[in-house]
Amino acid sequence: MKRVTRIASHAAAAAVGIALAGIATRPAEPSAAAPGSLTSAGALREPQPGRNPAARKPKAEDYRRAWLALAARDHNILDRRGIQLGLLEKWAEVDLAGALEAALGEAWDNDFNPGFEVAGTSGHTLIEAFRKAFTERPLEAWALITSGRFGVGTQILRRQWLASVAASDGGLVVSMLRDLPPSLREYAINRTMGEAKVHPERMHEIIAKLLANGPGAEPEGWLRIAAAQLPDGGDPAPLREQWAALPAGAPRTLALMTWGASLRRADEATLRSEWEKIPADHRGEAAKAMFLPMNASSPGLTTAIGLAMQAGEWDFLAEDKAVDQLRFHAINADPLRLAEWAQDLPERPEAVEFFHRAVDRYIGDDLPRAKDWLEAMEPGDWHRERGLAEYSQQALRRHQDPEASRWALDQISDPALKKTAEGWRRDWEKETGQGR
Amino acid sequence: MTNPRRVLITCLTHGTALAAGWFAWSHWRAPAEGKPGPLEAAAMPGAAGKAGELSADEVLASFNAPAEQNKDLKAEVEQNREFDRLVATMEVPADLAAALSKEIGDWLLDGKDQRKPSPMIMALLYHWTIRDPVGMMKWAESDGATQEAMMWHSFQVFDKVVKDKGPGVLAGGLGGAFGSFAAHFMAQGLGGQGADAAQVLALKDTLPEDQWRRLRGQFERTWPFQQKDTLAAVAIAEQQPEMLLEFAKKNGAEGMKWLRGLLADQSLDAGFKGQVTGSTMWQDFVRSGTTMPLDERVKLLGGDEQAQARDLYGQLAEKDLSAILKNGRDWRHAFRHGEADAAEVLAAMAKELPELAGRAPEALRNRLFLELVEEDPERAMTLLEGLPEAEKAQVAMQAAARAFRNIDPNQFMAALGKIPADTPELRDARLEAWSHNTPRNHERLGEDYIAWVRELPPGLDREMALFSLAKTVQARDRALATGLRGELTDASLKKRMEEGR
Repeated sequence: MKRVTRIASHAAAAAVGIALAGIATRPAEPSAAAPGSLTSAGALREPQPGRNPAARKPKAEDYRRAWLALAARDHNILDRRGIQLGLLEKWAEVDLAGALEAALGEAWDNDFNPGFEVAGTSGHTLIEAFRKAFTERPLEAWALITSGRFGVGTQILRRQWLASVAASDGGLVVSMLRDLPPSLREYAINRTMGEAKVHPERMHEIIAKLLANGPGAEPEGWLRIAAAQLPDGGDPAPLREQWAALPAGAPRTLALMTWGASLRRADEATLRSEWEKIPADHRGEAAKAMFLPMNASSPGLTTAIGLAMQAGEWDFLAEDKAVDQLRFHAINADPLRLAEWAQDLPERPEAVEFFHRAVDRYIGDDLPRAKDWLEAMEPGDWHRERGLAEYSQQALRRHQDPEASRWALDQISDPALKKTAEGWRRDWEKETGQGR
Repeated sequence: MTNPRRVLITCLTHGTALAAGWFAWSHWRAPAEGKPGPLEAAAMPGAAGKAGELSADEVLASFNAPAEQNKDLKAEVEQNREFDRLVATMEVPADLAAALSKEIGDWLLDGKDQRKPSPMIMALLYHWTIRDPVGMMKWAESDGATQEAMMWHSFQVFDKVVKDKGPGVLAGGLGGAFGSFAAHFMAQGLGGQGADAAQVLALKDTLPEDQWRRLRGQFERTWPFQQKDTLAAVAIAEQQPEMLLEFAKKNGAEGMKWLRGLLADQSLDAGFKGQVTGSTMWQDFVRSGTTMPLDERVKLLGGDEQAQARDLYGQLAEKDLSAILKNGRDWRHAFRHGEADAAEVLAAMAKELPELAGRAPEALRNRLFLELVEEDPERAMTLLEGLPEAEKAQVAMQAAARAFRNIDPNQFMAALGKIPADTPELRDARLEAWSHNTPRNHERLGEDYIAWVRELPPGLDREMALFSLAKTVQARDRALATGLRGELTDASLKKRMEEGR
């Protein structure tokens, strides 16, 4: 995850996190209610004479027996999970393969809150227990993980290995990019750069390693992902001049992205001023370099998206999660400003989703105001048509107002869009049991 | 004080706690009651008797370390005491940014795993916040190091600022990336000091719209239940039904009772009331209201007619059962490991939910089947014994179509192996189940999932898996989608694919 996105997402999650912290910390707490609570085993009693602690270091079989015995205990999910996490960590010290097999033999979902991933895990609530083993013995762990013995669950382990080793040895991670399945490479780079974020010199070391991969579209793509996380701020002019003077290749890509990253938190005026200084044939790559380092809290996000559109980078915008960024950006942005931005979007299929995400809050916040806004547009204007479809959605989903939705649907003149929007309404009726 | 950082730290500190527990264990203690109970003995055959072998009790005992948790708490108390002392006694540097940068530089020298909050950083942040919250918040975003430091320290700082100086101090800090943190503590402070609705609403005129929303969004999360009247007044003034619902939900049975009382009040604007009761959240709220009498829930959800009531019992069984499985004994885990059979779990659920078990036993059984089939498909099928074959297939298929999200796909295959596909309805439901699970499995398991699908034995499930996977990857990887389509042999699925359905 990108650096400031992490901050922003932490900020957004903060309040919820506080409310949930009591629950989330429960694994560490012994269950007061559970009659068979393991705390009764007397952790603080004196040692018995005649037993030699040194001779009693548990073996793999001891852990396996304890693992099986746990199922007979009267624990709730969180208490059980807390004990399992501890047990797996110690088990992994003496028998990593056995511990991994035991973990993958448990449910793979978050059984406490099905459908929600536990923050900080690699998609499996018990796999975090292997952080220490993976960090301390990365190569041994990697050989085991990729041995084929974990079948379809292997990717879960690879992901945890990357999360663990990115923090302790980012250089090792980026030197192994070619050994990773393609679907994990971007994650590996982002994770590694993210871990180095408080040490810019380490970020540069990682980038130097990536540069050593030499030319080619793939290594340059990796470089682009990594460099998007470089620090922002400073004077963009020398950075711009640097990349503009270089011939195509990895050093130019790095210079271009360093310039782009420096603009992560630039305002609209700065972005437009930089844009003006870029020759027309370089504007496509410049627009992408401006957008890639940005995140939901970047003030110039909509400007960068607009410039990419202006440069004709439609394929890039369609593929590169720009809509998701805009969706998160919209949570804290001024709804009026976004709606005004949406009104200037060109009529293109790729712009449709941007339009909806930019106007949904403005419409949903105040339906009468939105009605006036839409009625002031020219009949048949695609912004009006799409706005009406969104109005219907907001009326139903946010205000439970089928009448307002009907008004909007009846105003749509494009038959295909009307059919689609009526379908959305039918989905709502089905979900809520209304309209029976 | 608790905060999200603590959640993360909880994970990290587990390791430390375990190490200490480990240490405690290594000085070995005898089991409390001398020998394990019958269930435990069954789970560890021969464990107690063999010389030199550790019993499960002994091993498991080391994974509870209350002493270590106390140590963590003690460390936090000491750290807060030092923070208070520094705030009260330190000479405040003129250049707070420079002082902080130096402290943060030193603090970062500790590796991530050894890092602890620094009372000095907290104290410096405190003094800056009370002097210039806008400047401090702007600085906080300046680079990765300051952001990291904010993540670790701002909660304690804002908490103390509000306690010492009142919530208004943070009003200037609601913008930017850390504005949500400030909003949380400002809202908490307003709730804690019992601000009335007029005082709260007056803030709206002093803040930019987005910052007011940010603050308002924290009321339902941070205010104590005693603030319910103020919260209702603000929610009504702001036309925010979700605010009421979230607040009531957070306050459990008491909140639910309060909200029902509020909605029964004739003076409440009918339009607003309609927004609350017409919302999906309200419906879900009533469905989850396990403390309410069953009949009242069914009535509130509009289930007066018999057919609707039957649907509703299914929904209520889902909510009630989930609540019990989530908070009571971990029956699914016991079932997975053969420590309980399906009938035993059903009996335990019926005991917990006598009203539902009496009124809608099928709903309870079917929902439990859905829960257990993910753990052990074969043994879960015993719940459906005695049903006519057609009904058994239908119930099992309906469950399989809804379950198995984020579950080992081999378990899904094992369940499907127990369910016939000999009618068009069963076949459609089977395809729906594959379509339902494939996108997430592909996203989570990546290339391993693709290989797994390709290696499935020939037959209907392989065909459906290929079909669903081809549709899932179509937009992102056309070449792969074409390859998967090329492996299809089922005529109806091939036709369907060609028609783009």
